[in-house]
Amino acid sequence: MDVRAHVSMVFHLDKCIGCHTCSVACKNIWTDRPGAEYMWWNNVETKPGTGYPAQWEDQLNFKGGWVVDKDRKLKLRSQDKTDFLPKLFYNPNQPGLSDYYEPWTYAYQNLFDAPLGKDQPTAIPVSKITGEPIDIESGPNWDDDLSGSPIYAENDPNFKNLTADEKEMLFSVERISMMYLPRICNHCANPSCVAACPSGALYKRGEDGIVLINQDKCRGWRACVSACPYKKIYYNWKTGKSEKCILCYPRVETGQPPACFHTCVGRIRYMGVMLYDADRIEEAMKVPKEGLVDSQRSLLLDPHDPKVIEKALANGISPGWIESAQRSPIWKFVMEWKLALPLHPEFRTLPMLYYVPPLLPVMGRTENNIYEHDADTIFSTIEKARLPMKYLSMLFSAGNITPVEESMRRLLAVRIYQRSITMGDIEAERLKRILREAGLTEKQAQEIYTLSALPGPEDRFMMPPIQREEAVEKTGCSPEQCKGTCGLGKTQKPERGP
Amino acid sequence: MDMRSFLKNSRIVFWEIAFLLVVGWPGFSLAADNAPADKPAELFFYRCAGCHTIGGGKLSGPDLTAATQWSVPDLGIAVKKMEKNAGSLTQIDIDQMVDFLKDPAAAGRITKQKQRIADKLRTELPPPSFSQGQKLFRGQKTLKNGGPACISCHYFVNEGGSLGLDLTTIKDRSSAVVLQSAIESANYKVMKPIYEQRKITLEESLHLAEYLSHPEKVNSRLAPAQEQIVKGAGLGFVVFLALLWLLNRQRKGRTRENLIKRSSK
Repeated sequence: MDVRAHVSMVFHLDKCIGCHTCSVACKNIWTDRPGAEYMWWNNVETKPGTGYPAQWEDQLNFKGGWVVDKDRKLKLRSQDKTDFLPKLFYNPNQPGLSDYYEPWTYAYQNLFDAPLGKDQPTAIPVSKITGEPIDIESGPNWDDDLSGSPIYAENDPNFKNLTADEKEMLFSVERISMMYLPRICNHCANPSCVAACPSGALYKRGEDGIVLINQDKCRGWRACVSACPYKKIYYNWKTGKSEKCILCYPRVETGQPPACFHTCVGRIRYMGVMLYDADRIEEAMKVPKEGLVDSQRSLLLDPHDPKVIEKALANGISPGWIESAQRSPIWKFVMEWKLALPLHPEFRTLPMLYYVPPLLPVMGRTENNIYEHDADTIFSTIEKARLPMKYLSMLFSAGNITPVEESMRRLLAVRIYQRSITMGDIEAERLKRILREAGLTEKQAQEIYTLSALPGPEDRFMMPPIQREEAVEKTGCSPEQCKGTCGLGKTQKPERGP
Repeated sequence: MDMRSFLKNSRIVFWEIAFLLVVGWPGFSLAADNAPADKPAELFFYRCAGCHTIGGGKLSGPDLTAATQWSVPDLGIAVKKMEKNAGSLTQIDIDQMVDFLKDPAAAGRITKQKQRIADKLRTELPPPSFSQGQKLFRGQKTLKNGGPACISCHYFVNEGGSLGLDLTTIKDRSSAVVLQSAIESANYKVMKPIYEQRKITLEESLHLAEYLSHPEKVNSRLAPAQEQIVKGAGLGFVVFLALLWLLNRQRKGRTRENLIKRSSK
């Protein structure tokens, strides 16, 4: 057992309102500079939809992530050592500008500088790359709120398992629905981008598992861009290097949650330490895809287990970190309650960001032209959820419906339990049966409710004690003097590589 | 003489002429050829002319015009000394050579002898061929007695080794006949031990001399090796284009634009 610590995340999708505040916070801090305009380290997608870049989930097109080959070995789908060399100067699976979008701004200055004329001056869109006026044809959230559904929503790659009838039903009037999917780098524990990097520039930080690109080492081969199945690595055309979400490590090191977590209006984001067994990663990622959720869970170690604690201490994980792991909301969501699921585990990268699938919107029911609201109709069964389980299972459990159903059943049970408290219109027998079927106790239901609906920042963000000051001290600078220098460390402008 | 006897006689004359023409002509020319050879001149031509001339300027060895001024014994010693280059010489050879060198008309005798030999070769052997010479020089055709190809040491026009002399401009210094004899005797420091046991034949030397006398005929743009490189590069480029085309077919399309195209159908 090789115990490692990981700063892990949960996004509670039931609470996401799709406001893009996270994206804007991230953009303002990290990617508001030339060469990075099109980068959305954090973006919010509408599902069903094609996402950003368009149809990123279609790995037959983009060829990211891992596959199990004939010899039962884990292999990069593309960009391994033999595949990379022939594609050195020519990578056919690279997303291009047309898969992203041409970043633009508006010629605001024209509003002030325009010569006197008959009409009001306008601020026309201009390309942020060329500076020329452009016709805007796409954007980072072009399919937002189901806009352009016949093009985007209907071409969601996750509809593969749905029959034509099921798909048609999904888009029928009164039934059509959507959910939001905020995405950042998953900081995978089995990152294909790191495996693909020919320069050794990508690395997973030992202490907290944050995946980073060393800008001094990156030579811009872009193997990581292709290899990342989540398309969360972007190539900076100005510096000639690739960049990605850094999980705001300068903030994390000073005990603050990342900016997108901090600003989240719906308070959907949770952060905490998880312990995992690095020895068994390869073995666990080789199982048939239906078993991937369970095998991924089997890698996560119980921080209360004395054996795990002993091994963790032996691996240099500090008692402070272990304590942080014991109080982690992530452990509760992922392992204790089994509510949160990884996004696309079939990419076999072991993503350390987990999603609580959305229960809402449930199917409304009309009778006598009135929407029914009693407990029997609205909260009856998960089969009535507007987004079919088949679809959600394509997102969160590699097509295996069981984990999604299990999670949904529990969410539903918590909701019915909470209704019984506030409204008192559910018989005790029925409530007990529902909780039993969901595998929850009343206490657990209460806990889930509290951590889902009423958490304060200290509940959502169980930040680990990174002890950055100790690292700073080692550089010879006294922590007093170097207060505030933690975080980015040296700040060197990235330049186009040698 | 009556008409009949005239006709008879004329017929005889006709046949006589015809006989003379058919049989006698070669007889005459044979007779001309068989005129006693100028032995010393021939000796000079074969053994010395590779390096020396008389009145023709300096080659590898000095012009021997001045030899007429030498005393007979000195000249004898000098000629004897040349044995190391020219091969063994009998006392008769040496004496003949001394007489020859003292002769003021020696230059003319050589020219005459040269012409004679050239004529003789022309009649006896197939005409020297440039392409045969080229093949022999390059080693594309092996020398009959197994000697190494010239190209392994000598450079000519734009190919060959660097051990021996660059033969590109050799024709400006030595006529074809001289070249031929030099090749045939191969009497040079490095060539001698190599070709002594594996003589270059007279015929081969003729071809080679012809080849070396016409550097301008060699396709001077590219050596065969370079030609192969150019052909290879061309082929490589075609393969590269084909590969590009193949890879381009594999290339993923513009995802979003394809979606739009498909939905507008």
